[in-house]
Amino acid sequence: MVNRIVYLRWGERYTQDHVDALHEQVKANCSVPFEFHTFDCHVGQAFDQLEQCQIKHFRGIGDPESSITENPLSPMVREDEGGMAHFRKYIMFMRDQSCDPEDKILYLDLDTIIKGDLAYFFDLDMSKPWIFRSWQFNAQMMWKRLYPLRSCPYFNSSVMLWKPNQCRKVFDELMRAPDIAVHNYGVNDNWLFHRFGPHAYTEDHRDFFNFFDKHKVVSDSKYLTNDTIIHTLAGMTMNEKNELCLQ
Amino acid sequence: MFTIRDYNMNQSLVDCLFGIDQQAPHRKNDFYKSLSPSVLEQNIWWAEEILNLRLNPKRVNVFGAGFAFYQGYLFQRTRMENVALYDYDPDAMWLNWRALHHIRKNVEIEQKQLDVFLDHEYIRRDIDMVINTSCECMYDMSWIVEKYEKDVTFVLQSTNKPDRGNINTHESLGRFITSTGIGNILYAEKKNIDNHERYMVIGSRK
Repeated sequence: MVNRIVYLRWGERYTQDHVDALHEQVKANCSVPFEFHTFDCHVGQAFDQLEQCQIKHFRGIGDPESSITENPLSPMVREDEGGMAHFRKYIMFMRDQSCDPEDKILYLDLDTIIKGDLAYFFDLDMSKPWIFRSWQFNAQMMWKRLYPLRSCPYFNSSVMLWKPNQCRKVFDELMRAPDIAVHNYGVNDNWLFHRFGPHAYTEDHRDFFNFFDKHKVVSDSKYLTNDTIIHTLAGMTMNEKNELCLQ
Repeated sequence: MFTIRDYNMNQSLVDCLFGIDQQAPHRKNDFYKSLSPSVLEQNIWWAEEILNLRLNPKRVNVFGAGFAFYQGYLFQRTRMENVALYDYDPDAMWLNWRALHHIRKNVEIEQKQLDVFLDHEYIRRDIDMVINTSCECMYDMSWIVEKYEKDVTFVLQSTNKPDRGNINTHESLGRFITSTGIGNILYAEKKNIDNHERYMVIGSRK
């Protein structure tokens, strides 16, 4: 059994410097043995299909790799622009077939600040996979208000934990109709939340994930405590992220 | 043009408003928008044309139903007998149950909370008609139209209006028709509603 800590890098926004910086943080903050590596989610039939969807369905004027609305003058918010964006993350759920079934895989976005011992994650009950929840979207019922607009999912795939093959359903569901997913949902977490969240129509998809404790994995700094292990930088611009990630 | 007569709609409306206040104050704006004159106008449009064309549908699916307060009256006015509403908005389910209370003795109502594209296999097919007045919010309807028999009539609307959530607007009626996959056209027209063009096509696949 191997504790795997994995990352993905694509495009030009993130560089080897970001990978190295994350690796250094992991080495300094993981008290159990681990392997640090990536999955190749940028080649193969599934990737090619998603790339075709990107070409066909991206309607924006900005960077299609961005998952946030960066230009306030943009005529559309990012969710409405369609395209592949970070959907390729879910190719990991097919690539993990090369791992031992008892391995545990902790995925971290490259814009992650590690503040505590990652060993915590490898002790969690693995009867269900885990995902980071954006608790701040509970404020004024934001996620419920924006659910019909496919926005503000409380799933945040910047931190996930699973065992090999445990999330295969997610990959299969995406590849069943990638055109629809990429056209209608725009940002991967919106799709994941609708298809595997509390209101998923099919029972075996509903409430598919456990959530990390709201103070252990945090994106909104109001939830930061001395117990916080991971602080993700979701929602920041690249300049803001780089200032924190590449110190 | 129809007029909304006293049809015990008041009681249903009060039930809806009470429900919104109690259960979902965060959806108050959306509910009020669903009662706007432009929403009423676009709904009356499809009902009038169904009657003009003498289509007489009995079993009807409504996609992207949203909050269907006005539609209830029109389901009954067009003499529908069984209507299934499909929408992935969880609040639409309970709210529509209240909104349609006054017609349920005459029109059988079913509801399912799902994505009409990604969960299409759970949508019934033994029907006369599909109504979708929200085509601008979803993938091209041709993907769905081709899965139905030729005798199913589609009543579809879209717009050229850019707005939050409008991910599939069209520049013209012709382009909208192309996106629907409807070949046997019974009706196709555009109207100016809410300072933008709104398109409607009624027909079936080739």
